[in-house]
Amino acid sequence: MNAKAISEKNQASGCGRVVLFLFGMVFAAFGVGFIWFAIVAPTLKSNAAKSWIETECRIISSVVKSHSDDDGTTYSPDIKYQFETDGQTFQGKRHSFSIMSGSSKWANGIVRNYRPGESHACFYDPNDPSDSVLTREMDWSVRGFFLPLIIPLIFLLIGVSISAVAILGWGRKSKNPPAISSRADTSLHNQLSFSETSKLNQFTSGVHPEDQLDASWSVPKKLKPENSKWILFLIVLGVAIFWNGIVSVFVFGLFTDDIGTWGRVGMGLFLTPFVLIGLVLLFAVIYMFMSLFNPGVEIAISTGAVPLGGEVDIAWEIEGNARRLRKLKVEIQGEQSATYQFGTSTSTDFEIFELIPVCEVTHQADIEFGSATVRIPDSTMHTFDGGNNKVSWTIVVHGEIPWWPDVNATYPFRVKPTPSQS
Amino acid sequence: MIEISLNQTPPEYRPGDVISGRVVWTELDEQTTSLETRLIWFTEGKGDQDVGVAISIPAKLTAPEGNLPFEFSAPTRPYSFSGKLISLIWAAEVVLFPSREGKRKQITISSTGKELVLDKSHKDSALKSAMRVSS
Repeated sequence: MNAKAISEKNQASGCGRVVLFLFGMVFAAFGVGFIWFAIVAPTLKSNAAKSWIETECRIISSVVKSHSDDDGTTYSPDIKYQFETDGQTFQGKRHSFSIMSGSSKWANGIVRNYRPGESHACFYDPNDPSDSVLTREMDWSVRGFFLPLIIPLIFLLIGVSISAVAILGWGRKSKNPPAISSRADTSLHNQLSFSETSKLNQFTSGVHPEDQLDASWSVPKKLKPENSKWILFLIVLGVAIFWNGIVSVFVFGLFTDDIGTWGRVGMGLFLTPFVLIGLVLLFAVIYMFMSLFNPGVEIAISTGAVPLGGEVDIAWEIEGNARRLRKLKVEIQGEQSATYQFGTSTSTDFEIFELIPVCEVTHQADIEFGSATVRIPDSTMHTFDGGNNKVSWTIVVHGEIPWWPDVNATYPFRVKPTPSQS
Repeated sequence: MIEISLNQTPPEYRPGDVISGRVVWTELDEQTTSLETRLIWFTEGKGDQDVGVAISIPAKLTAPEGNLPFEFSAPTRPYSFSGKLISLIWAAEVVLFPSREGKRKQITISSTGKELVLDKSHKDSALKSAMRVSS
């Protein structure tokens, strides 16, 4: 029995991704549904009730109702009232439009305000007086608004993330070999490959996409850092604002909501790790903000695509106050990376396989500017990008600044196959 | 049944070398209409698999038994390598259609013909390359 050809594998992966996408959409739909019923619909109803007619109603009964499940017992006010309009008597039992239950103390607090026999204001729909409410204002407290919102939001975020992974994955997987029926498209199935339509001559003549990239990089180059300091700072700032913005709402509620001493202690303990993460993020923002004022390092190399076994001249120059640097270290790093899916998440592992020292200088003049010649070993691997699996090369710069965030920057370049063979 | 064999032992090639061999098939079922001999690379290891077809030679089958020689020129890249996370493997593969079943023979392609081993600890001694620093 022959096994399935390896170059024909993965062709059915699109089906799995459709299932993954639909699974994510179901999750997201649950989130949207919950948000609708818990927040949007009550808010719309509350707004509509602003035109309802206010009347006086009499409280018939007012008790606390308990709801028990595996997670424990919660309580909600159960208040019945009646009112008259146009000679007809109507009954209602809606305290507010917010859907919520909570602690016994909270429910009792509401019930105490509506004792049987008392008269209170209530509101009814003039078109349908059987639709009424005691208070038409929405509860915008942590318990009334943010707690009902957080779980649906988590559902929504997870669902959208799963679907996004499925869609993005489609793009990557489309590079897998196509069926023979689509042989005309074979040349598209992988950026690094050719179909039989490319013919042997074409292939060996060096018209390879990666060869073309190498050719465009085979000139003296001033390299750009892999990640801009500003972009990194703004990303961390955004994450910190988002995280601390949400956590602060709960911390605020901890001090303002009537949840009792034990409730406050429990909530405080629950929030502690979230607050600590928020503090770490704030520290990261400060650290990255300080690093914005670091001196920059310009890197220039004699060729942006160095052949295996070939030499390359690397020059560096400090932009800004070079005297702040106590030590400068420059290295060439070869790294392999593997991206894989585990369940619904995508992870990438990295492994450094080559570390070539370029310089490690402490004298001010050497730090300020200098150059070195380095040979790339011929026994190592050239730059490779297979989609999920990659081999990449970077120049890594590390500058030490006393009592300040260090200078760290990486500059990608290419290593090409041995020249005599290409 | 289908088999693929290579003319060279060990199957180590440098870019530009001729990779030649033969595909032999016997007792193929009537549904098999064609085959393709391919020179492919694929990855193995931690990452999701990447596969590339460098060259593909299609052939129509006219008899349930037969053989077919093939010849490829070893591509310039990517080199065969083995690292802690991933390995890149070249192979000559024959694929039957429409079943898409196949057989393959692994080969290595690099500047030396040998598989490159990417292991930092393995190479530390070799990394002390000549370095001239000037300022």
